[in-house]
Amino acid sequence: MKTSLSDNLAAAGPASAASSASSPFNRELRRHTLSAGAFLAVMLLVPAVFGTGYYLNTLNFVALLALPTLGLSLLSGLSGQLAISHGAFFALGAYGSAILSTNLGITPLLSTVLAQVIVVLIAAAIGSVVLRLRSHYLAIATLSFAIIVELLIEEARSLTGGMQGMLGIPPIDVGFMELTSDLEIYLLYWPITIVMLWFALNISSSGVGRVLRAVREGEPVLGSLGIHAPRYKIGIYILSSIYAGVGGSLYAHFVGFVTPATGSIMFAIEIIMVLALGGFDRLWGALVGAALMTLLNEYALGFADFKRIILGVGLIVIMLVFPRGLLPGLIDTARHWFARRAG
Amino acid sequence: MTFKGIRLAATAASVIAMTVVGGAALAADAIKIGAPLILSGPGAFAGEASKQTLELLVKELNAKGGIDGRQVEMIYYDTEGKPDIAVRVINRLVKSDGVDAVLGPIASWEAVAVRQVLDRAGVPTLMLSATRASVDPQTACMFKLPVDDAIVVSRIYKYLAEKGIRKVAVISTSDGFGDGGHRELEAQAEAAGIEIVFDERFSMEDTDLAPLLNKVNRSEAEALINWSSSRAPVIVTNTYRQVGLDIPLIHSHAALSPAVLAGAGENAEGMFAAGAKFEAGPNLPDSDPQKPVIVDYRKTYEEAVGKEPNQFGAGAFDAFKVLTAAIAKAGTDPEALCPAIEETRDYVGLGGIYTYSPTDHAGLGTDSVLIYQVESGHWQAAD
Amino acid sequence: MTSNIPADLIQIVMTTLTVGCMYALVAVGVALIYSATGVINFAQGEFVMLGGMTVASLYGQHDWPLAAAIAVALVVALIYSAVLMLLTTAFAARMSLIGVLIITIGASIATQGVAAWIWDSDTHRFAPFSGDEPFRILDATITPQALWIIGIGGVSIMLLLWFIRSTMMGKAMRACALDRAAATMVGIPVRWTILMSFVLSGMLCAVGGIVTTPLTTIDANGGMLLAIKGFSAAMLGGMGNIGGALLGALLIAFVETLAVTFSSSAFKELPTFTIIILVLLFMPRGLLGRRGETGLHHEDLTQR
Repeated sequence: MKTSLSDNLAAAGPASAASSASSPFNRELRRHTLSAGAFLAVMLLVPAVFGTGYYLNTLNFVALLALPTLGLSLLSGLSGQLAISHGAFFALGAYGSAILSTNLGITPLLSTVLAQVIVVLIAAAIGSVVLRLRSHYLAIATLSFAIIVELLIEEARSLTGGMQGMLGIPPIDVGFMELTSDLEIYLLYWPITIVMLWFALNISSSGVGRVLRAVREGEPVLGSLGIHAPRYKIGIYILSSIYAGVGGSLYAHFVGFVTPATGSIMFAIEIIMVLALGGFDRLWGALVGAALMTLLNEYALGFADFKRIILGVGLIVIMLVFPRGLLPGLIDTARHWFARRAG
Repeated sequence: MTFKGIRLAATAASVIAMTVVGGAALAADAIKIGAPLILSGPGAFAGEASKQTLELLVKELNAKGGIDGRQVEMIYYDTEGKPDIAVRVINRLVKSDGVDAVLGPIASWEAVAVRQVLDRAGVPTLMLSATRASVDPQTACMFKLPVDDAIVVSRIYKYLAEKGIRKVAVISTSDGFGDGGHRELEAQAEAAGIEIVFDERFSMEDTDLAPLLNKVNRSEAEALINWSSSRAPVIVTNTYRQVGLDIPLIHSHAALSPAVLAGAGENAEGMFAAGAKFEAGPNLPDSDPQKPVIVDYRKTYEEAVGKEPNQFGAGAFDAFKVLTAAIAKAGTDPEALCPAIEETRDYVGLGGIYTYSPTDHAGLGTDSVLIYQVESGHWQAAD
Repeated sequence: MTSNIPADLIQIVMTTLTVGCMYALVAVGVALIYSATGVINFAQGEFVMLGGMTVASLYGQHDWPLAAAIAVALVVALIYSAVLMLLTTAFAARMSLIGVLIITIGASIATQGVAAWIWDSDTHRFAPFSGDEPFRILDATITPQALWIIGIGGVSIMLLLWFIRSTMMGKAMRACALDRAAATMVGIPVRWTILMSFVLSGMLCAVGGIVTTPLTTIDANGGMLLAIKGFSAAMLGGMGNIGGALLGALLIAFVETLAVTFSSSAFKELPTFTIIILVLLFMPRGLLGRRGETGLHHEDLTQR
């Protein structure tokens, strides 16, 4: 979506969210609610039509991979920056909720929420420090932070179980039942994922999103308008980290164990690859990327060497053919095709 | 807007279509056994030997008509040596492929991670991992084959005590295998009269262990115990020579492989490791009941594969034999199969003589462990 | 534990130099490519892996003469660096920086897969150039291979610095790094100088892989972690500054050695990465980097 700089700034004022019903934001809100609602309806129909089966397990992993990617997509799409810390926040969400529920006996739904408090505090602390950096410097600083988190998790053995990880994490308990089957998990996790997608779409088209896009374009007037740009950047960093943290917590209560590999650097790199598959500034793309990556993981089981070759070569080819990512590339191609047929 | 919805719905539908096709049903009457093995990454040699062994065994069994006329069908997946992949593979074996039993996984950190899924699904499992934690705490239908850290540690301590060594240095990797061994080394020390005077961990990625081993050199330790797997024993051995350590070096059972000898070359001369009798093979005394089984397996494997077998293949061999014997007796219904595995008595295998019981799902005792020393490039039984 | 200060000192110095040389070869490789193109190359560690694995395979397993095996390894690194150069610059001229980053990640993963498929995923090693027998100074032990690493690593980096400072080609490379448009205007063949940066970078890292494999062993999957260490060092010293990369590498090696000597091996990376964050905060251009010297510096990764 291309908006001119003046549009961005016009809508950037703090009052914009509360303006009249015909404001661009409200139109966007309606649009996002419709599309996300339709998608949710489709996803809920899926098990009714296809029945239960192993595919639900696969779809659950799609949701769990989509959540951190949505977070990263929000950050990169709005600020043009890349953080390599989303694997670490996924791990913090996973370990936070696992420790709270396993050691303190807090019910998993509550521990998931409490874990996000931890994620917010750490993201705020690290964000207010490293977000002064940009570009490669930010990437390396967040990478260093991620390595430190991984090391601490590995070494805080009494709390995290060290390299062995934590086992026997309780499943989510919704009061009258524990969610253990793939279907039960599916019916909770997909609505959560879609609601978080809906929220991200709205953030992106809200005043906050506009300010961030203006910041990204290096707009010097922002300061004179009384907009404190760093605060917005830290805010979006925290929000995007929560997506990773929620993904981690839900992951822990789904698979029942976490190890340092759960949120390792390699996982952070995987999230970046998923982002590339879906497109750097396409929030819907996070879902497509996650689906593709999960399918590859699923169908390349049994020949990991070739999986790596397919994934590596696939990434290179996709980036060369569609430099903005697979989904935007395919959409552009389709548009061109329709345009040529129409005219 | 709705256009977007439709596009996403189409994506979702194709995801499902592919998944459903992938999970298509297989021949109804075959006995399906899942084998989640490390087939890539630094532990691949273990998974490959297991897979080749299982392929030989299945071919032989099916040529004889299978079990009660039912053919055996193996389903192999690569766990990549990663616990999260292992869990997904197990999910797939249990929920999509509908296997009757599982043989594997091999790595300790995979084995402990998959316990919950397998226990929930109630699928009979024979773990190929070398840590006691894979069957402890005990669950209804999970068994373990290879010698584990608990009995290997107790054997090593016994050997050291006999040699009059009281003070040891322990180094272990910060991974599931190192953690498991470290726990046993610590827990059993006092009872065995051993004092751990130096205790540090290192990581598989460490490129230079000289500073660590120099510290060992300056400690009072009379022997160095290294609890690590994969490439780490090679690096430890090479560095042990480089820093000129002269106390005995004792590795865990994970070091007992031709690959470690190849990696360490001449540096390996004189070092120790403890493990199953399998590695001694032809050098065992004729009176040993395991000797004919081991000699026979080595010959068959070498002829068919053209490589030297290793203890991981041997573990898979034993697991397959124990499982198929129990299936022949009780069929594939878990209600009958699990007690049948528990009733296995004195099965003479490659890794030891197995006896399971309702209270013992590990099956082996310290008598199945030997102390080895490297002599002219080969593992030789030292005790 | 008894303490022996002179021996400790010698050991710390030797380990710092050995590990530092390894990191420095990778870091200088990273800096070369970054200063020429603004690309952070995640596949940098694959040069090391390919160098070590080729020699381990040809010399260690197939009994080729060492010199021939090294020659083949360098040719492999040369071809690989040319392919990487094409993928990240020529074919991707208008791609965003994040896109190029993804391409190098893709190249790294694919290379690991290919290497694991051609060879295997096991650990490999070949005999040290002059035996394993260590010699002792006081109570410190030094392996001959460590001296080879320091010697060959040091000489390679010196040669590279001489090349960049004193030859026509090297001067062209520096000009390109400072201002590509101006370099084009004065008639410098930009393509070729970029290719030269990739090739030199690849060769340097391959040499690193070859000299260190007898000491540290090598496997098909170890590349990416080494690359991360390499660009941490490069970033610490000042991105795109070759002297800075050298300094950063030695500093990281020194901190790690101190951590291992006086604390525990498991914690050795904690101080390293804490220092990197701190340095980036207080000296955002690194220890030796000066504003304007880092070639291209983009603020927005999704653009170029």
